[in-house]
Amino acid sequence: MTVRARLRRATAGAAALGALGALASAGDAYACATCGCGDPTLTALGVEKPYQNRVRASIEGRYRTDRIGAPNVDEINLHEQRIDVQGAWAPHERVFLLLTVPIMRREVSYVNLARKLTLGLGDVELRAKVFLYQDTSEMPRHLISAIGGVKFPTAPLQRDDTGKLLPIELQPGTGSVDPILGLSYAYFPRPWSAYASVQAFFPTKGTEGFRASAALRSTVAVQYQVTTWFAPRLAIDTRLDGKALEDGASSRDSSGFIGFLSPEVLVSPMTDLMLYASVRIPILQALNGYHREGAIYTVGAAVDF
Amino acid sequence: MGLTATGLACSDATLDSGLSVTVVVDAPLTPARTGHEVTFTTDLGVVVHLTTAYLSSESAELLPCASAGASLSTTLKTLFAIPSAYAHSTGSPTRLGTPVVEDLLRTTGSSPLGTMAPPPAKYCTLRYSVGAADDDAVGLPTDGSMMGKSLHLEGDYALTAGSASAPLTVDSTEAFDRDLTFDALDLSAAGAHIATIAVDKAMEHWFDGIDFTTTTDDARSRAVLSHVRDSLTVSRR
Repeated sequence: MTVRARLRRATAGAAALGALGALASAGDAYACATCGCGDPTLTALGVEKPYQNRVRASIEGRYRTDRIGAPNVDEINLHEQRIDVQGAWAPHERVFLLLTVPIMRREVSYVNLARKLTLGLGDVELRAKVFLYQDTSEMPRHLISAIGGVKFPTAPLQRDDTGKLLPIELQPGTGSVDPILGLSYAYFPRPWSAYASVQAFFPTKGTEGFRASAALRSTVAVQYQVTTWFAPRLAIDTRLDGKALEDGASSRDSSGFIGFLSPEVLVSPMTDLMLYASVRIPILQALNGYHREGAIYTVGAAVDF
Repeated sequence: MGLTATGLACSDATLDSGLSVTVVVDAPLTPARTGHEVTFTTDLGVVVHLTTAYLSSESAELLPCASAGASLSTTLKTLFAIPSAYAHSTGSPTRLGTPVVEDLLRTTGSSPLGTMAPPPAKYCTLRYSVGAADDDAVGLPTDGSMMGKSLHLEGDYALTAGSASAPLTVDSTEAFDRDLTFDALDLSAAGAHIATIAVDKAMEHWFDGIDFTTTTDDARSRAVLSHVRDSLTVSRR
C-alpha cells in the first residue's frame, strides 16, 4: 500500500468524523451563534499527517433546527440550511490549512406566525492544524495536533426595506472576529481508528452589542474500516456554552451543555473521491433558558487533488 | 413579500407578516375644541376652560378572553408573558411598554402606542395603563410640564357662566390601570391577522362633582384622574 493510498484510507475514516465536526464550522446562527458541535477540521483535513502541498476540496450541505424562547411567548423557530465550500492545503507536512466559505439560508418563524427568510454569505473561517507529535515516522499509531483558527465577520448585515437591521436571529453571521484554539489526538489500531479533540471559541464583540457565547466543544469518535471503500463511524460531540450578550446584556436563552450522538457513514466509490452522510442526534440537552436544538443532518463530498 | 438585497448573494424576505395588533389613543371625542383649547361646563355649573392638557399612557396590554374557549395554559402564558418579544426589544408580544404623552387638546388624530405581535388566541380586553412620564416618553413636552406626571391640565375656571375666572392647574403623579373590553378578537392563521384597537375618551365630565370652593388641589387632582379613568372606552377598527 502506497503512502498516498494509506493516507486516503485514513482520510476515509477520518472524513466520517469530519462530517460530524464540520457541523460546527463558521457562521452559525446569531440566535445561537455557537450552536453546532464537533470538529470541523476532520472532513477537509483528515486526522492523518499530510504530505507537503496536499490539496483537498469539499462541499457539504447541512440542515438543522433550533427553538429559542418561551413557547407561545417569545419563541423563535429556526430552520437553517447551509452549504460549506471548503478548500484545504498543506504548505508543510506538519501544517494543514483550511478555508471554509458558508452560504446560508435561514427561515425563522415567530410566535405571531410571522416567517422571515434570509439568504447569503456566512462568516468565513480560516483554520490551521499543526502536527506536534507522532510516535513513528511511518504509519504512526499516535498523532497529536494543535488547532488554531479565526472566524471573520464576512456575513453582511441584513436590513429590512427601511434600512433597519433585521433581528439578530436572522443575521447570517455574528459580526465579530472569533479566535479558535484546540488540541486533537488520533489513534490508529487499524482497522479501527479513534479520534478526540477539544476546541475553545472566544467570540469578541459583534454587531449592535451582540457577543456570541464562548464555547468549548469536544468530539470523541471511533471508526471501523470495513473495506477500503466503506467505513461506519460513531461519535459523541458535546458543547459547553457560556452566556451570550444581546444589546450588551446577558442573554436569557444562552449557555449550558448539549451532547449529540452522531452516527455516520463514509463511502469512497472511486480513488480520491469521498462521500459521507451523518445525523447528529441531541441526546442530552441541559441548555439554559428556553433553548432546544434539533437533529443535524449532513451530506458531503470531498476530492483530493 | 418584501425583498431587499444587501450585498452580493444576500437577501431577506418576509414570507408571512404574521399577526399584529396596533393600539392607538384617539383625540378626545368630546367636547369640540376651538383651536388648541376647550371649554365645557360641569354638572355643578362651573365653566372650565383648558389651554393645556396632557395625559401619559404608560402601557397597553392585550389579554385573552377568559372564556372556556381559551385554554388555561394559553391564558397563563399570555398573562405572564416574559418581556422582550424579540431579543433586542422591550415589551412583549402582548404588551406595549413605551410611555406616550398625549396632547389632549389636539382636534383630530390618533397617537400610536405601538404595534404588538401577539400569538394566536382570542383576545377580549385591553389593559390600558396611565402613569408618570419619564424622560424617555414619546411626545414629552419640551417645557418640562409633564416630567414625572401622569396628568397635567392648565387653564381657568369660572364658578358660574359670566363670573370672574380664576387660574386652574391640575397635576397628578398617580397611576391607574383600566381593563377595557371589546368584542372578541380572534387572531389566528384562519382568523384575523391585523387589527387596530383605539382607546377613546371624553373630557366634558372630568370635573363633575367637584366643588371648586372647598376641594383641595390634591383632592381635585385625584377626582379628575378618576373621571379620566371612567371616561375611557375602547373600540376595534
